This record gives sequence, structure tokens and C-alpha cells, in this order.
Amino acid sequence: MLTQLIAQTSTAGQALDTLSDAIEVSQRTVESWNLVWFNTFNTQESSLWIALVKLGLILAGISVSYLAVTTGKEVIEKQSWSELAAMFIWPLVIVVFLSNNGKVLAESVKFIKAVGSTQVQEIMKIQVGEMTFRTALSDVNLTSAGKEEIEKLYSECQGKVGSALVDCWNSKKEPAQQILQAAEQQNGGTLKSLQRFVENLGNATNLQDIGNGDFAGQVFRSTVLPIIRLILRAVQWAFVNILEAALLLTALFGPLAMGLSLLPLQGKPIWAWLVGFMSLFGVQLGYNIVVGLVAVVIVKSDAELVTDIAFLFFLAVFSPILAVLIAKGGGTALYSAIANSTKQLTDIASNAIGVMAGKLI
Amino acid sequence: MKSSKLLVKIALSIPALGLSLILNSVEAKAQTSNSNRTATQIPISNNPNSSTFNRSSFTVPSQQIESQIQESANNFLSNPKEIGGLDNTISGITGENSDSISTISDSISGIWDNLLNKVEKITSEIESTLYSFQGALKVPDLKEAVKSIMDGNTSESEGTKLSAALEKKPENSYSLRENTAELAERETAVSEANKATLSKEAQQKQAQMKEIVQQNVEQTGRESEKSMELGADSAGQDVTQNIMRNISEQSAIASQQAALSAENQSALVMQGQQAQIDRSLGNILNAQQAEELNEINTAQRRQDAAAATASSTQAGLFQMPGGITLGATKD
Repeated sequence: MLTQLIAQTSTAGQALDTLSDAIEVSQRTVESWNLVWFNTFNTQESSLWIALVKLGLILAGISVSYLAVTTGKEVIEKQSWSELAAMFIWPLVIVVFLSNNGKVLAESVKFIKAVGSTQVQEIMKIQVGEMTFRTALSDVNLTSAGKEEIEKLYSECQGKVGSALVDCWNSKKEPAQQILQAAEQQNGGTLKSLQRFVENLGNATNLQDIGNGDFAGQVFRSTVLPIIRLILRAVQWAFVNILEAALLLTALFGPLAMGLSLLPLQGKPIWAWLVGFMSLFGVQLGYNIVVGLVAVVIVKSDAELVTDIAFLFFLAVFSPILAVLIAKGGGTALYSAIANSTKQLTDIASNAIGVMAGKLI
Repeated sequence: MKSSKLLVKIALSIPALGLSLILNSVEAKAQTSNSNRTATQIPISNNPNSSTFNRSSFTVPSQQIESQIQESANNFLSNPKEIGGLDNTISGITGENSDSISTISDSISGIWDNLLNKVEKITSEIESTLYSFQGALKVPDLKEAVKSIMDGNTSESEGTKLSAALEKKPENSYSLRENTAELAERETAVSEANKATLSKEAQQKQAQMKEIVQQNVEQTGRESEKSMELGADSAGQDVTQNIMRNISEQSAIASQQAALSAENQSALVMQGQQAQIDRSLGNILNAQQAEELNEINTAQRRQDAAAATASSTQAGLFQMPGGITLGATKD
């Protein structure tokens, strides 16, 4: 399958095939998400979008009739042009956005998504010292995966004693080297901690290195550790994909929010929607930044091996909490600000139109 | 009147004297000839030649009586069947004994060789490896076989390949080779138990050997009975032959002891056979225990490998918001 260096027939590069296969699956997953976005907001064919737009229009229609009954009477009594103009602004906006199967809305949603995603991706390319967030993360994760594979390799020797132990140990040297090479190839660069790990383990008589150097002695571990790592990595994957799903779900509520915006509520639902949508990008951004920073710290201190599980906890549990809290706090403030200022803007606009109409007529 | 009584007394005393003389001379003859015989132990093989006895040591009343005595003595010496054919029978027995002993030992060792030369089929993939290391008794040299397997010189079998694929390890991984070596040892133990003791063919051969031992015992019994008969027989002889009687009795006792000893030996042989069967069954149970322990260890090892593989897979699935994955970047 993949590219690795393997010339022999049965080698431990075979063991790192699982990692390569999994990376390919992950890349396909990302492409699938993009495909789902494209298909959902394809206004010609996406029945989901069309149905939601229709629902939005129905809601708008109900709101218009409600408005016509309540506010219309007042305007006719008051005979004020500005208020009449104000009454027509929102219906116009809604017609613009939701007509033709909500094409304008769909396009604007896609636009916002594209901008947001690009920003989130660009964050990972930020250079800190001589490495970017992305290379640091790749380093830490591939070192962790490589260590996992090497631990599995040496776990065969776990019950042996005497010369059997030494024989078993020595037979693992070459497969461990191959795992290291395969991991470095995936990384696109050297993995220094993993290199030291493998070197320290290579010589059964070099007790100093095995005992003290780089925690090579921890190569014998309980079966519980891979299970913990599996759970934490699964939780992290679930979090990232929940964010993607939340983005999609929020985007799909756009037409509904638009339709409900005709109602004379304090804060228009459409602003809530917009702010929510942007907050999700905020969460993604915050998560990337926090995780990237910590990864850089770990790589610079050569601590990938020892902070193995701690980093996974950070990645899966603490960073999501942090990112969500910050985005939420910021989002609420942002929403209030936008909601208030929009009201003021609308008032100013309607006053201006009223004055002009008054002058003309 | 007194002289006639005296004459009668003298006349009567002559036969009495003669009779006593005859008896004494034969006894003396017996003593002399016995002194030749006591030199030979049982089995007595040689015919008594005409023993040389000193005529001069005897005092015989007359030449006639002397010749009579000599004739009957010669008869006795040359015709032992009159006393029950002791000599021939003894040589007959010993002749048979020596023949049958060699037959028995030939047949038992023949059966055993026949049994061992049969090579038991080992139903396992390491069959060819074990066959190539057989010793003179057709038992695989386990030390060499294990060394060969651990050095990686054995061709891979389906089971090993499947194991390697499931655990995601190279096929020549240490544990897999060790498993094959331990399997070879277990298979050898079980197949030897079957070959030598428990299979139908082996049991048949064991039964044959038991038969032969049984026949041996019976024969010894018959012979000792004969010997005892002879002993009883010679005890009832009229002629005063105390020493010969004693010797016959001793031979009878000795052969009785031999019969008892043969019975004891046969009991030991049968116990030995049963012990062999018990040991074989014990070996098979030990092999079963070893297999169960091996299963536990192998299952543990595979669980560990599976957990590590799952964790490694999940590591590869790593993803960051914005669609960022591991692996070489495309830009």
C-alpha cells in the first residue's frame, strides 16, 4: 500500500501500515465533509435546503400577516412615512435572501464558511520559532503513535527471563528502526525524541540508557495504557467532528432565522444565528491556537514521550472546554453588541428614508 | 540236643549276616558313587559313568554274593530310570529352559523393536521438522528441533501466518517462534505416549509381551512341580539314599523358589506395564495443561496487541478543525 521503505517481505513496517491507512481514512473524511457542505447548499438539488427555505418563507408569511394587523394600523393612523418605510425594510431583505430557493442565503453561508475555514487553517501555519503549529502537532502525534507501535513490538518480551529475554530484545532492534523510519516519512522530517527512544532501546547491554535515558525503560507497559490512549484519541476525534456537525446544523437553520426575523422581537433571530455561526468558528480557532501552542512547547522541550498521556488529556478534555467557554463568553457579548447596534442602524436608516420621502411627496 | 540247637543258630545267622553284608556293601557303594555325584550341581548334565569303587574296601562273604552285589549296583548306576528317571528329566528340563529363555528374550525385544520402529504420525504442521530430527529410537531430538525452530529455519505454517496478521507482527516474531517450538514439544510428548503405550497397536504388543511372560511363569511352575514330584519320589525310595534324598528335596525347594520368583517377576512386569500406561496418560494430561496455559498466555498477548493496534489506528485518524490531518501536506 504505502510508500514505505520496505524491501523485505515480513517486517514491522507492516505494523505501521495501520497508521498510514488511518491517515488516509482521515483525509478522506475531511474531503467527505467538504462534499457534504457543497451538496447541502447546492440550491438546485439539495432537497434539505429547499425544504428549509420553504419553511422559512412560511414563517415569514405568518409574521407579515401578524405585522400587518398590529403595526399597520398604527402607521395608518399616525400617517408617518418613516415608520412605513421601516415596516418594509425587513420583508425586502427576506425576499432578497430567500427567493429562488434561498440562493443568496446559500451563497452567503458558503462564503462565510469558506472565510472561516481558511482562517482556522491559516492559524495552523503560524510560525513559532522554526516550526509551525502544524508541524509541532504532527511531530507530537506521530511520536506518540510510533511509541505505541514500539511498545507493542517489545511487549512480546515482557514475560521472558535470562537469555530468552536478551534474544527477544535483540530481535526487536531492526523492526523498531523500521517503525521509526516509517513514522519519519509520514512526518516529513526527523522525530528526534523517537530516534533517541529507539537508540536507547537498541542495545540490551546498555543499561544506563535503558534505565534512565528518555524513559526507554517504560517500554513495558500495562494493557490499560493503550486503552486509555484509544479512548482519549476517540474523544478528541468526536469533539472535532461535533464542531463540524454543529457548523453544518447552524448553517441549515439560517432560513428559519431569516423567516422569524420579521417578528417585532427585541433581538432579531437572524443576528443570533449569525453570531452563533461565527462563534463556532471562534471555538475552532481557539482550539487550534491552544493546542498548537502547547504542542510547540512540548516539541521544543523534547517532552513528547513523557507527556504522552497528559497531552492527550489536554487535547481531548481540557482544550475543548476552554475553547467553548471563551467563545461563548465572547459570543454573547458580540451578539448583544450587534443586536443593539443593528437596531440603532435600522432606526437611523428608516428615519433617513422617511425624511426623504417626506421631502419628495 | 545242645549241639543241634547251636547248629540251627549258626545256620540261621549266616543269611542274616549275608543280608547285612549285602546291605552294607551297597550302602558303601552308594557312598562312593555319591561322592562323584556331589561334585556336580543342578542341572546335572552328565551321565554317571561306571563309578570306580574299590572292591578291596568291601568284605564280602563270598564271591557269589560279591558278584550279585556288583550286578545290582551296576544296574542301579546304569539304569537310573528305575528310580524315576531323575537324571534325564533334569537334563531335559534344563535343556528346555535354556532354549525357552533365549526364545523369550528374543521375542520380547523383537516386539519392542517392532513397536519403536513404527513412526507415529504427528498431526501438526511441524511434522517435517520433527521427522528430520529423529534419533535411533525414532523419538525426535527435541533440543535440536527447538533450536532449529527458534533460529527461524522452519518454514511458516498457515497458523503462524494468521497469527502474525492478526497481531500485526512480523512472521518471524519471537513469540510466534516460541509458540511453534512449544507446540513441537507437546506434540512429541503426546505422540510418544500414543505410540508406545496407548494406541491399539501398542496395546496389542504389550498384551503379547504379557502373554509371553505369563507362559514363562506357567512353564516355570510346571517345571517346579515336576521337580517337586521328583523330590517326593526320591524321598520314597527303599534304598537308603539319604543324601540323594536331601539333594532332591533341595532341588525341589530351589525350583519352587524359582517358580515363586518368576511369579514375582511377572507381577513386576505387569505392574511395569500398568505404570507405563499411567505415565503415558500423565504425560498426555501434562501436555493438555501446557496447552491451556499456552492459550491463556497467547490470548493475553493478542489482547495487548489488539489494544495497541486500535490505539495506533485512532492516532492516525487525528484531525484538527479546519480539516487538518496528519501526513505529508499537500501544499
